[in-house]
Amino acid sequence: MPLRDDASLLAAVARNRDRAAFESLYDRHRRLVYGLACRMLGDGAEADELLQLVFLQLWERAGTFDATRGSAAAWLCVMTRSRCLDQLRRRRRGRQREFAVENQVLEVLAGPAPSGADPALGRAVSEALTALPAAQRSAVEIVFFQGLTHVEAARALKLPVGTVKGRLRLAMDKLALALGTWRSES
Amino acid sequence: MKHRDFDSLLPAYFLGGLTPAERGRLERHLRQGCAVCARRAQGYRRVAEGLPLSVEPRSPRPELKQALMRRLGPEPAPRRSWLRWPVLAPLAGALAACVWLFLAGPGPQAGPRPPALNLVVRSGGVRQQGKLVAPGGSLDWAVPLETDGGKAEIQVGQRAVLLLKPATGLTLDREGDGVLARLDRGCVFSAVAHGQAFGVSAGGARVEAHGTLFLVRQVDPGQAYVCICRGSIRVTAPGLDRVLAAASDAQETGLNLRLDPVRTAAETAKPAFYSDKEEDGLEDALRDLAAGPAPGKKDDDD
Repeated sequence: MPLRDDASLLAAVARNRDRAAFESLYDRHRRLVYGLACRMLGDGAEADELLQLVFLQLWERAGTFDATRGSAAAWLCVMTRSRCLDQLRRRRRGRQREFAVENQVLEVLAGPAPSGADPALGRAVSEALTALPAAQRSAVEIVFFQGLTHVEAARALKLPVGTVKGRLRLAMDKLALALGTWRSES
Repeated sequence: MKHRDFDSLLPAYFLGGLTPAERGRLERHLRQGCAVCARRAQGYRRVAEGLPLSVEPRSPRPELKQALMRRLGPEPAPRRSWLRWPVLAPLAGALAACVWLFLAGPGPQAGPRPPALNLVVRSGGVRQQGKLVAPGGSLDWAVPLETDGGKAEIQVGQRAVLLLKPATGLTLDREGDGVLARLDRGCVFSAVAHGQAFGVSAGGARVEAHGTLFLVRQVDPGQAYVCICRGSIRVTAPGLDRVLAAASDAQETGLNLRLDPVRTAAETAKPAFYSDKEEDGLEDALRDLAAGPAPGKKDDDD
């Protein structure tokens, strides 16, 4: 029997509350979600709970998935990161930021998301990250995975804001070039 | 701002590293159709999509799956199973009773159609018409209510959870499909499910939620204090009509906005009546609202 794709599994969950489809999605994506949760929150009970919350959200919101905007894996990553950032925010109790930004970020330049095999994209980014100078890589990681603004990141890294902005710019330019989404003259 | 300034914000934007105010300014710029930024954005966007996928996958413990499946709730019964004969007999009895009630005319409980949303006390005590309503008890629409000494929480269907501070009085009304809390005194902290029509009026101002977490306090009859924690709200008053996003108006200290009918001003100090713990509790309530009713519990929202 051929494997069902994520979109049809999500549709089965949304329409029929299909537990078998849900289990298939869990089995397929649990390592991705859990890996990201552990990366952002560390190992332990918080990551365990977050994994379950993300899949409960999938169970409730499967009908909102839009395949034209990206893959199910990317959708799950957005949910996971958003919840992790909320959790980090609770830890810090810094309420001055609105962390649920990634949905908006991905929607501002609306249009179909570039299609591509997610594992290949992940590997490409991972390799490109590894190739970055450590200072640039840590600037990207502290902002993206710890949910700090560039101002907060500057404070945390004890650097001027302009330096952090510059490192982010250099790092993102290199990463985008490595993914082949720009030509080098851009 | 010059184009160069926006350009320098783009990388942090796609990493989620801008303040809401910066993000708002950049998004306005992008929506104006800047071709240079749009081209750069395509590359950054792809990076942002790939970053979470670049993390090394990890295997969760197997028992987490069993725990998750239990949290989905009970398996639904097969469709139409109620048509089996043993069930039909009591159904027929119920049907006969309904027909009898219809033919006999309205009984003592007949009256206007009840509102589609239930108002239920979640915690604390609330007085309505002098009667104390305990947790789990229902409240009436359009009837003034007040806290009974301490704090109280009220659930409005699956739309909102209101945390009423001590000595708070308000009236909950329906406005079309929406809900309006008319704050007479005190302070109410609201968690509103995304996309639901919900507002609070106080001190001559009116605050409308756009899927959010916010606090409104009646300072005096002509003044209200508004505090936005999450999402955005629209505040209207004579001479004022503004949409405020969390922290957007004062960046680092923008949570607390004092509002009076003619002006707004950022306030740097956290007010004494603001509690982090309460905000966290309402964040949980927001999640509950987003997740829908508990398994086995009927959603009373039409």
